[in-house]
Amino acid sequence: MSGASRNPFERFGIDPKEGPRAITERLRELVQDANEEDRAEIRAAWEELTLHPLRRLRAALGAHPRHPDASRTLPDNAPLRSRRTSTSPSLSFIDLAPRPSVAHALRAFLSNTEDRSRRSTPEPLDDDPVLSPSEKPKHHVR
Amino acid sequence: MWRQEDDALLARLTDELAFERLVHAQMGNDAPVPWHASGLCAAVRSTPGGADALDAACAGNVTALVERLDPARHLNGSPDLLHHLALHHARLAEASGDADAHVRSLIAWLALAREERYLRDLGAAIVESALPRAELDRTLLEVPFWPVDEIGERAKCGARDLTAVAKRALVVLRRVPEACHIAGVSNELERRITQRAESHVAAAIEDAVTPILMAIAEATAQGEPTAREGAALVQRFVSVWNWSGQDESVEHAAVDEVTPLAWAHCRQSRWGDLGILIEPAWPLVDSLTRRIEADPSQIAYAARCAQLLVFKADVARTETETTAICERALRLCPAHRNTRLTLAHSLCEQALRLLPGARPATHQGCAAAEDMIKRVELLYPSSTRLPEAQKRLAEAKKLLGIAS
Repeated sequence: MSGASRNPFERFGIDPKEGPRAITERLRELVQDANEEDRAEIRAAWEELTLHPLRRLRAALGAHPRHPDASRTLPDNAPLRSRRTSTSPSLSFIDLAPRPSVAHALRAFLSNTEDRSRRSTPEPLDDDPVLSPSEKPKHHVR
Repeated sequence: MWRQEDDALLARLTDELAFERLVHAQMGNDAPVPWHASGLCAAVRSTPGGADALDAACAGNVTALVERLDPARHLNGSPDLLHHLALHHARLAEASGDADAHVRSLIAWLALAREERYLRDLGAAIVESALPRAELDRTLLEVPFWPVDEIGERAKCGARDLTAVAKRALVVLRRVPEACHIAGVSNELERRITQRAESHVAAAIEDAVTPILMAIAEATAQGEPTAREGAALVQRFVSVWNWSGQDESVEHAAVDEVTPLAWAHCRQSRWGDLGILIEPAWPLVDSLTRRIEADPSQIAYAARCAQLLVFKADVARTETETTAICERALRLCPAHRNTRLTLAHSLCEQALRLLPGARPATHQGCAAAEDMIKRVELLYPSSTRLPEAQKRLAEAKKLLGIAS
């Protein structure tokens, strides 16, 4: 219980409350990219956590409770503009073509109106801290 | 637009930063940060003054946060916090070898064990339908014993090699009653957990002593071990005794094993060998003697201790020393025959030295010798030295004109 460093739930990033099905899915994902040695360990962990409910309970008590905000801070909860998902279309040839700058167009538009003196030139949108993907808070990789 | 999810992310990142500072302060800057444990800081945040302690930790001062990690302050706190504290202190104990941290972990576990609803909900979520409800309930009743069993296992694993980890585990097992008391568990549960801890201590010590008993059995099967071989075996008892925290059961085992080895030398009047053999055992014999002196109801080992004291008296350098050791043995076990015999012999020898033949007759010497001889007549009337002592006392009295 106290050997948290060896706790399979913590080691493989599994929420104990998700049950055997989630444990199996998570370990299946891991085993696909694992080498032979790691596969044996993952298999042992799978047996430990899914075949013996009492051992699963014991291991669960030896794992720290999840952070209360853990479920709300997954990558899926990131702002839409900066979220990267596997369903995003791949780049095509047209994406490589230079696009006209919206800011530049706005500047040209404003320069022709009588509001020109009262309005400042907008900042380029690419530098906007919210919209720019590079400004997304760094996500911790465990 | 700032969303609720952004609030959550900011809180989590703040907790992780505070937790990182805490881990580095408590376990060193090179210690890996178990990020999955940062919920500890979220749980601390919900306690009075917790938010300020976390802000200070983020700024680099973890003192207030560390103070808030004492489980004794949160016995009625949230189960989540107790769960985190139990694991955090266990990790700290593992990294630092600090028995206090291990006891704090135990306190948190025992306090968590009182949170029946938390454990039942957690258990139900984890085992789902894999276990009948009644079996899950029975299992959850065992939860307070699990950390004690784990420490017991650690003690047992390192017992044969007398490892430092096992030694620390024994220290923690002996502090189980203290942890129960602080955690506020019921008297009945405290009694059962303490009993379990004691059985783990006994099992570990038995594992440590068994190889010595086997070595002695092997050595005696091959013939009588020499004094130096015997002393080397006795020295192993001393190592186990020190490793075990000077446990009484090791003293019992040593006394049981040393006595027959000592008799072999004593019967052959090999006093030098007897001295070599019992010398290393003396701290254990002395400790057991003091235990019996402090609690006279412990009579089981009184006679055996008295015999070892007599062996010690046999190899003492002076009659005064012999008498003093025998007097102690006699207080320990007043009916012990060999103690009475040896003390009687020693008193006769001292009386004879005070009487004419060894020195000129004096009233003072004669009176002292008479007291000793009278004591011998009570202690051991069949002492072989007594008739001569009585005869010499009568002669001295005659010389000095003292009426008999």
